[in-house]
Amino acid sequence: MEHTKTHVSHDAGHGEHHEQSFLTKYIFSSDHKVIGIQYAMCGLLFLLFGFTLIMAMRWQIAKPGVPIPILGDILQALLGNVAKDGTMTPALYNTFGAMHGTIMVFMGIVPLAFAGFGNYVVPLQIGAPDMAFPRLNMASFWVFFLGCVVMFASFFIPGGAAQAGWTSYSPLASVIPTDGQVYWLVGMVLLITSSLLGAVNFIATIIQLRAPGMTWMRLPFFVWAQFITAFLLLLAFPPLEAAGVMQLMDKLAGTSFFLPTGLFVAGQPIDISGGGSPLLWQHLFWFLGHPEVYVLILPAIGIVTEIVANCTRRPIWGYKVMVGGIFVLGFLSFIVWAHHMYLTGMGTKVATFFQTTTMIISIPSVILLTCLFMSLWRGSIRFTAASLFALAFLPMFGIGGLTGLPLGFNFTDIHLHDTYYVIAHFHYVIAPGTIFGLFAGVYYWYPKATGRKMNEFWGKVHFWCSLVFMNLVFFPMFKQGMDGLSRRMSDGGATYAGQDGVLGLAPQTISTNLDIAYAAWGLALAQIPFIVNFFWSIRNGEKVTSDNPWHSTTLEWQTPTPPPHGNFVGELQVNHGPYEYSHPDHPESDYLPQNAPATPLTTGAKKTTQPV
Amino acid sequence: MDIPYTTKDRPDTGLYNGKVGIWLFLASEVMLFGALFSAYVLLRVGSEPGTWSLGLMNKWVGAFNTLVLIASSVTIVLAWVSLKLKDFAKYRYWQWVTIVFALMFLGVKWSYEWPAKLTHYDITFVSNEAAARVFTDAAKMTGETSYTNRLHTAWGNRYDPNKQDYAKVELKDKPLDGHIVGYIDEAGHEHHIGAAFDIPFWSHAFAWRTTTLAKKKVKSLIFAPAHDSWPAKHGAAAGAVRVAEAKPGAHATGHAAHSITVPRADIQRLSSFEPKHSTFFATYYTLTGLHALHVLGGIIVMLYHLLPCNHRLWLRDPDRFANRIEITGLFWHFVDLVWIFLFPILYLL
Repeated sequence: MEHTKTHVSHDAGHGEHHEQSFLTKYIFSSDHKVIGIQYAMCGLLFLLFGFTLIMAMRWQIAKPGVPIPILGDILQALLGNVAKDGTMTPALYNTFGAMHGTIMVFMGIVPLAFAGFGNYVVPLQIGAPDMAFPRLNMASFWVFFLGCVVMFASFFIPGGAAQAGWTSYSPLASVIPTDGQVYWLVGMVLLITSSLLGAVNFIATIIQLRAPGMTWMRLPFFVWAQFITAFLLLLAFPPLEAAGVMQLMDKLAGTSFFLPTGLFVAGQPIDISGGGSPLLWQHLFWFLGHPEVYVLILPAIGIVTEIVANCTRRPIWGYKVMVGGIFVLGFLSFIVWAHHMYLTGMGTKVATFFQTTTMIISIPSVILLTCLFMSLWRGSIRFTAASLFALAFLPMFGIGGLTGLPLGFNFTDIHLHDTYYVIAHFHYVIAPGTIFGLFAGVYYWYPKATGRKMNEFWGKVHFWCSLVFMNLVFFPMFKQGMDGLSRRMSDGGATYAGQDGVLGLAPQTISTNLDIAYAAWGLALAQIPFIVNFFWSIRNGEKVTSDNPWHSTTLEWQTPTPPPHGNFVGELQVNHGPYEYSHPDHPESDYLPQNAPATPLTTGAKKTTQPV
Repeated sequence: MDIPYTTKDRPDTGLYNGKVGIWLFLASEVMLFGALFSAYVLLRVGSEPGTWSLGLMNKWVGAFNTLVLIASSVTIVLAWVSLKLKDFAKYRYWQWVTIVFALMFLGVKWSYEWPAKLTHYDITFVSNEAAARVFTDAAKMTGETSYTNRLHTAWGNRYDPNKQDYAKVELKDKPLDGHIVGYIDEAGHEHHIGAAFDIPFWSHAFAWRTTTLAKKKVKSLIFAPAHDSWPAKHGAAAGAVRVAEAKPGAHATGHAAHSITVPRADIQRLSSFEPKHSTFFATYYTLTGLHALHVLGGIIVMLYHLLPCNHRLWLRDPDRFANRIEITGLFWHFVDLVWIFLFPILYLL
């Protein structure tokens, strides 16, 4: 211990003499908070970018072949012939479809939810000075950034970016003659490597750097969610990396890992050895793909749990059950992957197994959601922008989860597979689900990072408009899917329209595309208040008067605002559980910070602490 | 600011941060190689008879490399132990020994195993009659009149050690393997491979494919069948052919004694033992290549630990430096362990 102390004084002296330059402080920083913000900003930008791609696609679906206003000219100028006369060609539609999925999942939500919020909040919540490996943390961000650059650059190469969907099924992905898939694979290998380094860092941090007294059962639920998420990334991502390497070999070295014997392309046998297995790719992809769903949703559930406890001023109902539930969820998520593959002919026995595990995994999900609903019971809820988003998450995620059941049964999946029903289902989980959770997190932790609150009024405008338009966009898709509208069609199903005497899609199924496009434009407009509010509030938002504006119990609020390098001032001792709100033994205040003395509190809200 | 437990163990977990980190990293590595091993199992189980090679690897070279890696796993422990005994010179010695072993492993791969495969070709035939013709020519080199017994043994050793599949695979699909010595073009001129590239050993590694035959206007290929199954009757030394390929001019010894002429019209597919050859070789190169990258990564880390700046770290904070070597050792054991799985599945089974 003496050894450590000398080091502390040495470093303090060090810091006084050498001011960090802008570059080391804000760009190549190893401070978890700066890295968290870097990740979050990248994530938000890519969410906007991915959203722009789908807006162009929705235009094409609603009005096939009609030039896209404004955006069409830009696309033609940037991409050339694939956007001829400002229209969207099928090849461009495929590119945008593949990249929309890839960007939203791997470059939008994972960086924002797991890496962004995780980096900023987890070390603060467990009372650590930083992540366990700060330089590895920085490396992981820059590898991620490089992956994003590769992915983004692939739009501008001849032939454009990947076109085979975000799932990149072989042989399709391997035999498309352009290089987009190669860029996609290299980009993915970089993104995966970044996630692996991040996951190692998070788990090591949570195991090793909890402050004295921060026992496992005193961890805020957000930390538990990040802990399980990190394990999912750590163990589920490498198989996709392996699959990526094999598909790269198929593309570059001409191997046949995923190419079957006797494959014909455009009527010609292709020069390969054959003997590979297309099913192998799907198994390896979905071995990641399904845990990835939980990678997207768990951090959001964590954020929502924090905010629900805070806005109801009550402890979370069934905290221990939720921790148990999330463990079970994490474990089961590794053995449900093949429910994405009922139609591949892998055999009914296999389908039965995965159908069973899929039904079982809904149990812990329901437990988590039920606990959160129960937590609301008899709470005097404070409705802020953050809490509105968090509360809306619950029913939205509920709809997303329940509509998954018909997809989990193989007999109903035969009808619904690859229709708009699937799109509606997983977007309910991810868009009004996860993304609402992330918005809630932005509104909630913004004051900690900047010292100012975001504007509440415009936050509520953002919320109500988003809620209405999200549902108007995605709910009709359930109906479209049940009517048989297949996904991945660049004309929105017009080719399969029913005509006189010929069975096909009903006119209403196709005309709904236009209604959805209007709703999507409404959703786009609803994001403008958020974007303006986000940047405007950095300088002009209402200043917080204390370090703990939401009167929260968890440790991230018991630091100076914004927290300095090293986070905490003085010795930290945790004495209480994470959600000691309205404690009957402490009537003087409705919350008890985790580091409050073990003796009863005598003061009200904590005074602003200053760095020493 | 100091991160706690970078050197000392955290009391309740009994571990320092780096050790937790490396075990987690190794867990992800297990999943990475696990996925590749699963791919190996799935592809092998699903392969058609006669397409999964079982006897093309040199198991003695593989065994040698296995011993080298196991030895290096011991020496890196000795390096760490030397640090614990505060003997930096000893550490440096054992660290260098480990690096030398690691380089030896890669050297065998790079200079012998991969090139030997990449310059080794096989041919399948357009028809059973064409195959019979070529195999008969090959048998004549050995002084026999019928190829049947020799092919049964040779093909069996390569693809069918349990002798179950011989009848299931058509003659035209049983490859003749060996080395390309040269070719005769449509105008009747003879060309020698070594002269075409003038780089020994790598000279024609995976340079030839079926399409090359048309591109070079080949009328017939001069091919030296593999010597372990089709020995030349004049007893040409096994190495003579390779020398002839590699060195222009050396070829003048006359190839007739140890090579045959295969008309292009008889060839269905020509391929070296490159990744594209078959799913077996695709798996072989991907697995051993990824493993070799890990070995290379280990070498770089070990060299880094020999830099002067790390000697200064040793003087300042010996425990921390010893921990780093321990972590490197854990990684190195893992690399070793992966090879211990790779060796049987690729060379022996």
